[in-house]
Amino acid sequence: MEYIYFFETEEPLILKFDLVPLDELLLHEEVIEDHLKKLSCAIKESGVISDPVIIDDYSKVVLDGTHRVCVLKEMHLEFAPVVRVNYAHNAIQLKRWFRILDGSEKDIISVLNNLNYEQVDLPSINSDLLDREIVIAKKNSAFIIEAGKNVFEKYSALREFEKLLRKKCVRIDYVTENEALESLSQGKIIIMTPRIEKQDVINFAKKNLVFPPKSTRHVFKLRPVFLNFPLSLLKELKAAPEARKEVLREFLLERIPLEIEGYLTIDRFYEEDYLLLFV
Amino acid sequence: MLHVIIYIVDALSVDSALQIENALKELKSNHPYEILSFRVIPGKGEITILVRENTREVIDRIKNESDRILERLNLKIQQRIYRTANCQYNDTKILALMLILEALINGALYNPSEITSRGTFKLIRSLFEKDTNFRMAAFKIKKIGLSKEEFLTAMTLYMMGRSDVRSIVKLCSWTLNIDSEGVIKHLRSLESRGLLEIQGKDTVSLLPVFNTEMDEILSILKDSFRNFHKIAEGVNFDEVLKEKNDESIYILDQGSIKKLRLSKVTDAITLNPEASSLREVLPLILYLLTESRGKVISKRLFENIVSLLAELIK
Repeated sequence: MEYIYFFETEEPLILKFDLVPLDELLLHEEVIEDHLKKLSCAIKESGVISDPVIIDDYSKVVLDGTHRVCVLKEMHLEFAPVVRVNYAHNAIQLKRWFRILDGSEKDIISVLNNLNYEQVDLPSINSDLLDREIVIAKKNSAFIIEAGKNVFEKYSALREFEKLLRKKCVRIDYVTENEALESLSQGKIIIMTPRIEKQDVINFAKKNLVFPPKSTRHVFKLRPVFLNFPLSLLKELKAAPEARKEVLREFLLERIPLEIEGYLTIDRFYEEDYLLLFV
Repeated sequence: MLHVIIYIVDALSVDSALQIENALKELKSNHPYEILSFRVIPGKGEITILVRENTREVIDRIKNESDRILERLNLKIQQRIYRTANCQYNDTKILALMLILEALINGALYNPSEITSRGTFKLIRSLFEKDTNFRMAAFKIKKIGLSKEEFLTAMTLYMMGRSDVRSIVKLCSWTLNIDSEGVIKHLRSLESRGLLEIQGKDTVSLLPVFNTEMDEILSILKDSFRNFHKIAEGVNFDEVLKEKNDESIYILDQGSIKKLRLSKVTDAITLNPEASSLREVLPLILYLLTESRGKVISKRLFENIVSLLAELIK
């Protein structure tokens, strides 16, 4: 079932609701174990998958909902409620997660010393370099990490760097670019991550190469939320998989789709322009 | 204008969720026009209330009364969000009528598919074809020269009046079981034949002349339904009922799905004196339940189809 939205772009954004076999989905990011456990408990307690997983219509790569997919797999379910989108559409933006480091500066520097880096003045770094490399910034200084030939290798190096930081009890908070830059101005040490292109997400996922957790941040101009698809229906589908599209269609028929303005905090902050929720 | 009030409260037990549901049902019965719908998700502690704008005062009263309900049940409100909302209604009534019309003209006017060659539908078709009104409607539809999908797209447009493309596309795709690209193709075809006009970026409507034609066809088809009891008089439905009674469908009611043997539907209609008028269209009901929608149907749509058929044959 499809919902069409006209924005300023010529091409409308089409959200295609579907129930797809979990084994057809490709992941591009690892999960955070703690987050997975919490989500698993929440899903079991509520008995619903709150938000549909968002996938690229052509490649079946999961853009949003890696943890949900893993929880459903753990529960031995066969299908996931998804929204298929045209990933190339301008209404879908691929942004980054930066990191704020909370720990002793001495420990952070000691970990940094295990890597090859170049120390420079932060203002001297051009934006192109900031998009390509891992940069650790503190006030006006920056450490450009020299690691990896492509974006996947750079993120793999970042994964190892973060492991070492955690061993030194440095807390890592994942935040938006703006939040990180604000923290930098307040004297915090931050990690600026390289930009990943949409094509990288698809290409590496197809090769079964997954980025570390919190590598990509997809912002959809209109995000479908609160679908609250019952697990009981997903379980029933096991017995009648051929009827899954019909089940979803009739389920959606029983719901009222509402479009509300975004930039609001409900269960978390939604930075999308609009939310599509179902009552 | 619609408004949505979302509450996030501490995780709700099933009992608390039921208590809230009951309290909100009562609130809705006190404000039947203003409160369109609500939903309570137990484990998540999420409560959503959809309110139709009346006056600011009424909306505030609903907000305050909802707050008091949660307070009374000792629920701590973590978040209360209040937003205006755009809504794409799922107009189940129009959908039900479209499905009935689709069933009626399917095969009778266009090339019969494998599905429609089965006994149940053959009987319905042959009965309708005995009626002068139906034959007149069939003649008019054929004269327009549209494909079945184009005709049903046009009929949806007629029933929705001037409407935004996305609502049309959604309803058509639900009726015809096709994706939005397919519906847009039919809309473009109607546009190229000069039967509809597109205003602005996404508003479409049928041209007045074509609207009148649709009006006539729909009213003739409705007359045909009214005559149906006369045509069906004395017809033995046993054979077609036998064909269908062994089959099962799945009824989707909110979050649950139940398997239902069609013999139960047949019994419910044939053994219930209040449903006597529906006996004549029982084969059509069985066809709609099993072939037009596949094997799964929402309870709400099912109820709408049955009540609409009862209304049409009055």
